[in-house]
Amino acid sequence: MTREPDVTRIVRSWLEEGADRVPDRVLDAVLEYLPTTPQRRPYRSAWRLSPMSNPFRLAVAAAAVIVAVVAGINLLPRSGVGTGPSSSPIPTPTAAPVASPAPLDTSSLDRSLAAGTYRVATPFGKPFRLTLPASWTIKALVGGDANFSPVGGGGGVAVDLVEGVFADPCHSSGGPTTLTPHTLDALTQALTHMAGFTAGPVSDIVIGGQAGKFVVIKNSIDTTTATCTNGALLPIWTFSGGTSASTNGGLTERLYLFDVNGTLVAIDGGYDATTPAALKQAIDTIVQSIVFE
Amino acid sequence: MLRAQRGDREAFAGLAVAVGDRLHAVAHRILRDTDLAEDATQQALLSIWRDLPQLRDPAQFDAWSYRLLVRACYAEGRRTRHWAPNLRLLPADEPTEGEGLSSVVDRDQLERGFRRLSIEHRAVVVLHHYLDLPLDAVAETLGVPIGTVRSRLHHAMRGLRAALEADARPAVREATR
Repeated sequence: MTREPDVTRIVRSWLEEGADRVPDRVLDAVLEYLPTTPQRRPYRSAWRLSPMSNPFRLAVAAAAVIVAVVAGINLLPRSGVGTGPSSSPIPTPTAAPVASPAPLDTSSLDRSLAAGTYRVATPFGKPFRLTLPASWTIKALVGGDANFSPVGGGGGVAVDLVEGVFADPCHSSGGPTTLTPHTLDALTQALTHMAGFTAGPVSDIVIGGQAGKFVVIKNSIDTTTATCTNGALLPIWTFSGGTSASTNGGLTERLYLFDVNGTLVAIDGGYDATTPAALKQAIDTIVQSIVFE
Repeated sequence: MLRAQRGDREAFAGLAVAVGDRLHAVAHRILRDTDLAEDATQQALLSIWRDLPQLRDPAQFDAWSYRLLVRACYAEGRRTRHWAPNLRLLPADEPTEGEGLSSVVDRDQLERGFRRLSIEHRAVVVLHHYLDLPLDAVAETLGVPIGTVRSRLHHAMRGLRAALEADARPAVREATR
């Protein structure tokens, strides 16, 4: 009979044996492939560097139509939304959850999802439902961050449980500022007063029956010339676990902010004037479909 | 890393050299095959290059890179449903020293027992017992609940213990798979 501690010791010792150096041919092959392997920019800016192909534009447009049709058929309770900035009105919410939404968990990461309504719970700390078009996927799912985007990149929607906000995203070595008090007003105040950022008017909204705030923030930071703490990344807020959510220089973020039973939630459906109309519509529709439990 | 995030290939080359050995060592221990491990390492490094601009917290690089590596290992495991024979001739009269791993027989039994595990189970064993990651970090790296990690580790270790306790020992030269 082999005792458990013995097994552990034997396995650990056995694992120490084996290859420890990667052959040069592997590294050489990787470097050879780099020129033909484009980098994916963060979802908030991906469409700027990687314009969508026509087939992909059509797919996104078709997906948006499907969502609209599904939402229309469902005839479920509607959520209202307040007045957004006049230059970029927030569409009337149309999508709503169906009776038995399909669960989304970490096993769904990076998988192309069918159009439909999904429930996001474990490990995310604040369960919610949302409706996705076809060929979207969940890119990240941890305790304080759920991140959705079309398969292959492009724009996206992030749902974060905010803990702290960076007062100066370019110079972030001091860490985030704790929100005191931990309220929706404090969160809104912090996000509209970050150094290097400008904020549009703050409006009252209701999404999925949850009252909140909507604001568009922009930054004019040129991270190629500015000496920012994290290079091209501008951390905006932290979520559970201390991980930071970042944007890039020159980008626009469309923020939907809520206090869901004491938990501060930020939904980022960022796009700007360069974003294809179909993708804008898909992002807006997804955001408006979100219902927290 | 920040330069590599901006698309600096030279900076990425330095990063690849710095992390390549570590990734390859993990891949080799999970896949138990030199060719598969090299393919998985190569794929993981290219994934790191491709997705590096999306890494929002550089402090999470290690866990993130392991996640990409394990995914590459899963892909290699699926691509080769039948493991390529990894011929290793065992001396028929190799003396056994009777103390755990010093025994060639133990080593061979472990090898066979480990290969019977799924890639998912192997990954948990390697991340926990080779990299010394705590179980919650393993769960975070693999993107699965910690209960799943505990279950996989328990199952895997039970299988390895059974392999070590197997009575049948090779009496002649044997090709391990």
